Amino acid sequence: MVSTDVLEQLRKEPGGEDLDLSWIDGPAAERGIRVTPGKRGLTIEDIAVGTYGSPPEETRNQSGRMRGAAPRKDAQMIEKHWLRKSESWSESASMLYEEALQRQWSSATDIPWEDMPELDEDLELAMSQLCTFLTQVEFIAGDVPGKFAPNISADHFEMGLFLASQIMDEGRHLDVFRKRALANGIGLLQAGPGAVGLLQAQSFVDMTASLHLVGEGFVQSLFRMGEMFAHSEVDKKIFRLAAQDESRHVAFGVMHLKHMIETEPERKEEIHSYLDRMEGQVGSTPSQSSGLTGGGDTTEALAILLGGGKSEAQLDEGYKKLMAVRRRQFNEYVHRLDVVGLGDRRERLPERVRGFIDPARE
Amino acid sequence: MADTATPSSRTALARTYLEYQRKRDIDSFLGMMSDDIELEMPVVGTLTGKDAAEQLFRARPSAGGGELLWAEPTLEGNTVAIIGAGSPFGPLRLRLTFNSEDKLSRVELGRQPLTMDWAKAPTERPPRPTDLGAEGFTLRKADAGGYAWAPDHWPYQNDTPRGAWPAVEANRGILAPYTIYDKHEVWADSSADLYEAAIRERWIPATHISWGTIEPLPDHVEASLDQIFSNISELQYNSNQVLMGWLKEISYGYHEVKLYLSTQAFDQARHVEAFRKRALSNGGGLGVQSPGFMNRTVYAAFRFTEFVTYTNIIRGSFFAGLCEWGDKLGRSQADRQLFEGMANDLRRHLVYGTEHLKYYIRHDDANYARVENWLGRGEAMFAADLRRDTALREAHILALGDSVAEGKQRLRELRETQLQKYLRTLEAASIYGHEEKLVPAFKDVIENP
Repeated sequence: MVSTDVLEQLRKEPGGEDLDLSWIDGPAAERGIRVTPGKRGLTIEDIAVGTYGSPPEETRNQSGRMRGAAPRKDAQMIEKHWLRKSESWSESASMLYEEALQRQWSSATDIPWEDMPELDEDLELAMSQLCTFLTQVEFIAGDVPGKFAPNISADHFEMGLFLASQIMDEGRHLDVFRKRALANGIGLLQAGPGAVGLLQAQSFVDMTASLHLVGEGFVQSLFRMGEMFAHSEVDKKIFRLAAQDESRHVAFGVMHLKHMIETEPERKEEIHSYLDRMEGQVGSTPSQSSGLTGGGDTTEALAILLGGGKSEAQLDEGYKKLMAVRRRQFNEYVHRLDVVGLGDRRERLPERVRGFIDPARE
Repeated sequence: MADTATPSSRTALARTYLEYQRKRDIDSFLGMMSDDIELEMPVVGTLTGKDAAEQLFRARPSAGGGELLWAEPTLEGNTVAIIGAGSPFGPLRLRLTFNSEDKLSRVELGRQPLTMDWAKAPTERPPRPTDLGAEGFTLRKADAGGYAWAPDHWPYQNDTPRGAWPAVEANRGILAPYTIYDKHEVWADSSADLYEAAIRERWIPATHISWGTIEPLPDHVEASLDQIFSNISELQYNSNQVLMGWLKEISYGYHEVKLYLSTQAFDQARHVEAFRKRALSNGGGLGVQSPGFMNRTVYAAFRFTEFVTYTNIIRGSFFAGLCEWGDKLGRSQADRQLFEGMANDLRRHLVYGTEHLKYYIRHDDANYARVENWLGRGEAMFAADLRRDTALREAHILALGDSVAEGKQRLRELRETQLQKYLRTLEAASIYGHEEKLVPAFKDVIENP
């Protein structure tokens, strides 16, 4: 707190007569905060102290006032922000945002493009087709969180920061898969139905269920198996780095859904209904055939990459490995369901999916 | 025994079988099978005999693909083939073989024969990149030949990547909600370069700022700096939130722009937390919120170029001017690093803003007046914030001078620096002589802060 003597002195100085100084004299915001960096530097978690820390379950802040700042009575109102913490809160957002900053990478310089080997033409074509699919869908995963960012209250600003990091990551994914398709003489190939449907999410929880829990989760599982279908160190590194990014996005969504189910258990069935939609249980159309796992073109390309070529024997091998990929995608999905508190969904999965799922552990 | 069934009856039987599968009418479709039926299916493998089939379908009624979307059956000798979509493996082919008594003797569900139709897409074959240099495989290098060409109007209303072969309309999925399909509404020539530069120049507030260099300051100086830092954090959060909301409006054809904007959003996020951290580091705290006229105006922008005018041009140039005074404002290495980091980011934001405005104005003579309108509106709201924000004004005075009089003089100089930065920014955007057109309230608050 600034002493009265100092304030008096300032007011008495030449030119000081018109100073108000009420903002410094009787501040409405908490003062005396002195945070210090920890092992990971000065993180957002470190500064979540006192009134600057975790927000209340409900806020009336519609003015864009940052959490902990002093309010003004004449502040302009935006009236677009969600007032309930549960609407967007994810407990891990601060940690994931800081991790995103630490783990940024450059598609231009962190991928050993000079070492790109000339692959067999069928493999190169298949990789270009896979990358065409990935560059098509990856920035949809940036557009979707962007759609909801303006609604996040400044009381929950960490969520907005995380979404900005996700958008940055998705931009890099669009970029790296585009570059990969263009790097080895083939170029982009056949576009498919894409993932525009994800932009139909009408609420934040609709988004975290459909985009993070399902869409990003399936992509993460695929990337984590990149060693199986990447035929060069260049490709392996791309998938490894992209998988690392996707893990953060999935973790954000999982922790948001967990928070919502814990704080508003009555919304559990609502979340199930979003998953029903994503799993195709409320009907699908031929043009949505990319569904959970990519369209037919992507599947063929993956089978060629997994089998190492397009002979009948290689394709049989490729489809066998694809089965393993799908099995892992579905099993990791079920694991995420368990973590968020939707373990009961195992019994509600469509039968065509249940065939891939390992038995529940006791 | 001779085959007496007709082609049409076999395809009709196949439809009936699929209908039973769809309805999960297990008794009826088992009734269509011969006793020595052979089944071959993914996951399951090969099974022989009706009992085994019954066991399978009772346990897993969907094993036959009843949930897939089936095309019209086609006859291949004794076999009817049907392609189904919607499985986790892409299209599947169901082959139903009938015996002479029109009973199913073999049901084979497997992968569709390889087509590789996607490999025949007549897209451009790019050259292999050579001589990558220190900047590596940049977007500009990658987008060689026709891949670099961004058309004036983007024709595809989904997420088709530029340079890929578009899917036939029936296979493009639903139409996207994008509203910006014209290049002049978003374009800046150096977007791809700015995107790569942003990645090269990234910094991390948690670990790149020398937080340990911050020394205790007189309380009123610390409170003043904190007020300024609070203002930066709040306004950049506003710019950041609204920018992210615009991404879903921009069609996929201008991927360089979407990529660049993703870096701008990330930069702004960094400013939000970096200055918040600083305000909470030295015995102070956040200050008073801004009046919010400009924040509201940023939210209210109807057009993307209008939004860019408010955030990149007006707010951006004033913040850039402030950062140039980082040495005078900052009291520690950490403070100066924060202003330097932000200034570096803002340089890219200003380049995008000026190049975009220039492109927009060049597109249509009427656009100049439109930009002038937005500038006027922005200046008026910016001035309203400055005039009403007593806390911010006094914080600048106390932070900039050793005495109140000196602080006031310095604040006038700062505002003049910011104004000149703004005017030079406009000139870079091909808007000359704007000094004569400044909104009076704006001019007044600059001259008499």
